[in-house]
Amino acid sequence: MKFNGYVNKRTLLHRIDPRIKLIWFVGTTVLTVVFKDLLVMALLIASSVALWTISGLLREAGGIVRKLLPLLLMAMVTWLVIGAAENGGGTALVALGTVRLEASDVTRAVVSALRIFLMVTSFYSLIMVTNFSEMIYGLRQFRIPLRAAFMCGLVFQIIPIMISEFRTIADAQRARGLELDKGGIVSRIRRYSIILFPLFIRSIQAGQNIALSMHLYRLEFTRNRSSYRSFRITGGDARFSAAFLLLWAIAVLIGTKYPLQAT
Amino acid sequence: MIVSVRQLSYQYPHGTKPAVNQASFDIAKSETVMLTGSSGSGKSTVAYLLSGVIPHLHRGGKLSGEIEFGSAEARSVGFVTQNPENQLFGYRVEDAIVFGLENMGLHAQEIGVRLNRVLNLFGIQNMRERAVDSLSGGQRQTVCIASVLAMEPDLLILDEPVSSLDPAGKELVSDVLRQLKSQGQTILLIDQNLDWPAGAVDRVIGMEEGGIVFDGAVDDFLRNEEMSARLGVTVPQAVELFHELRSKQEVSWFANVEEAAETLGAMNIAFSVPPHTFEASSPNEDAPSIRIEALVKKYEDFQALAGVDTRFLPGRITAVLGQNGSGKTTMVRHLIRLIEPTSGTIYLDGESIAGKSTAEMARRVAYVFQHPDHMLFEDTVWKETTFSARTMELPWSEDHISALLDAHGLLEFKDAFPNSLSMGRKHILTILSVLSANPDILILDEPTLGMDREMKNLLAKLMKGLASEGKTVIVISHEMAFVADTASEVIVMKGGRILLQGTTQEAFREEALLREAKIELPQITRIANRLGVPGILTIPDFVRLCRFEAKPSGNEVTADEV
Repeated sequence: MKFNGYVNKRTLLHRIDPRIKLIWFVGTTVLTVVFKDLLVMALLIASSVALWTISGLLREAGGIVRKLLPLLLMAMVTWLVIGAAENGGGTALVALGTVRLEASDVTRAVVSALRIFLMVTSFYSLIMVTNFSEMIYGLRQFRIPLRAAFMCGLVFQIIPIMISEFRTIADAQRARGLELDKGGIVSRIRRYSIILFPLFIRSIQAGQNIALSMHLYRLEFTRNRSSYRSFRITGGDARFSAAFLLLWAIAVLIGTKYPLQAT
Repeated sequence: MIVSVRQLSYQYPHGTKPAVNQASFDIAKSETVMLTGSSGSGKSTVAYLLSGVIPHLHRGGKLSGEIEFGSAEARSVGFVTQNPENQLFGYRVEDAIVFGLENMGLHAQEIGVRLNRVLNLFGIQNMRERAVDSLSGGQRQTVCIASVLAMEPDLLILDEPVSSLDPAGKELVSDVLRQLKSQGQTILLIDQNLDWPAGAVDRVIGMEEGGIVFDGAVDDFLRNEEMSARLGVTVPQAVELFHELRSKQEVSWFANVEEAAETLGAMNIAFSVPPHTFEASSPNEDAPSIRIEALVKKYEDFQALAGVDTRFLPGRITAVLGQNGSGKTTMVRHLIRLIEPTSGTIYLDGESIAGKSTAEMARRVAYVFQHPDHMLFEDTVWKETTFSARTMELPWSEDHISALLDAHGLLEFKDAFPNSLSMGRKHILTILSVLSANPDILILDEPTLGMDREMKNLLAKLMKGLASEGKTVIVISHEMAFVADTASEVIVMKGGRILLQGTTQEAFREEALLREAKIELPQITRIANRLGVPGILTIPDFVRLCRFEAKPSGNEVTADEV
């Protein structure tokens, strides 16, 4: 089975206990959801960039950022348009009849894009440095039932497999003479819909294969499962946790005391 | 006795007849038994029944008969499926091997002992930390076998363990099989090919339409030419040669290259000196259908092609050989523009293909993927066959399609769901499907996967027919006997470069270069080489060129003389 998201390196982030990494991911996501604040976002992004740099994952992270750019731009433009259509009562940066673009609209558009950026990159940061086995181990340590932990780990396997299957099937369609990327949007959608049938069949086959493997390796959720690997909290884990607790405290302080909030 | 099967029958929920029908056999401790038969004969269903997949996972269906296990444990059966990629759980090799042991709830110390035992047994301690994803096909298959063996099954079932492997992978798994046998492991090997494991197998069970039609020693099976042909089993070429020669002359039994060379070497055999080249030059040499110049393909972290220059001629079958990762598939995918080159140019009939879309190229160049499931889109075989012609709005006739399906044994399945066909039939179907668009160039990527002997013969005939019509046929294959039988030219690749290109006969004389690319010559060529008559590629050639009890003349050599 393929694990396309994981980067096979031995970096600082890879060495951190999976439980700590899961806490880090959840904490960062919660802060991103709670604080719609430019400074908080900037702080969290700076910490992510620092982590990627220290861990030598800048290239991989850069790849994700490049793929995200169109989505971020689209989010920004959408929020700018919505903001311009509303009258917030602030000073207009640009005014054209009833259309008024204010500074708060720009802040809101930037913060929205940054929040999307942070949510996606923190998830990717987690799966770049935590493999399927570690993920299940980490979730199990938090007393998540094996069935749920295993299913969660499987998601990380199945999504990349399905993306890869989709690409291969699209290639096979092209090789059989179907123009997928020419013509109007409607005809493109109609052509791409042909791919759904083989993709559906392959999804069923992938599911059957997984079920077969689970049977062959005697995975029974009713039985207690042991663990060969055991992770112990190290000095590195403690320093990492302390650094992030401090960072989150600062983020909460900024977010509550000195907000630069998008309305 | 490890397992006794009595009057076992099973019919799938939507099946019209039993997949397994009144099957009875025993497997004794430490035996290596091969379960063989043509596609759809019921082999895999037997494996599912023995491993408990039926009825515990696949429910429904009609099951009768008895499976009795000798051991105290209820069912101690390990099963390695055809595709290890779909079986392994866990990121690293160590994770994948301990997965089953953790599920069994074993203590960490016991897991460690078992893990080290299988790692040492197969000599793969150095792979322990490696990502499963980074392993070659053979290595993955080895890890898969190790992960199942670590669970200490009484019976280990291996389902076509080398079907998708390159020569190095096959060799690795053959070594593993020998290791297991020496350890006294009881093994049920399911395969249609008896050419690679013949030396390690004790007994053969032959299946036909769900029933057992042969159960005996491997030698008895190999000597029974009618039975192996009836079951569509590929036997070692040495055995095929024995049967061919026996029909002309009394010959002592031999079943492998060494025995054949020894037996035939001791006889007074003369050979007409084979022509040095069957097709040294081609009338189309100056007009290649495809020409590749300085083709380079670089990915982020590796270079797949490092400057490839070659050409493909109309009317020729060219085989592209090499280990997995040598650049074969990357090169041929460029020909239909499924891959954009980093640099270099590809010409189709003298015109650069740069800027053309894959769909445009598909009107001239047909590419058949390695896994047919990726190419099947329709709900009937008939619609599937006409898909390309309909998509490209090309003319086609019902009579032509019917004749095409009939000639390749698919007409009776014309209303069947394509995905329900056997792997071999799916492969033939995908090839027929692209042929309905009448392309000038046909590219086949590992087309013999999952094919029995009869289907391989059909495919060879089809390819030769297309070449005789002036079409360019390019085939990627690890089956050297098939290559020797079909291809007039070969390209050997290694590390993204072309190591060797020439007629098949010329190339197969370059033993040192082929060894470097880890390509093993067909058995018949090795036998002929041992007899001092290089350049023989097929059994018909061997039989045609050898003369029994003939006195050497000017253009004849005896095996003794060389």
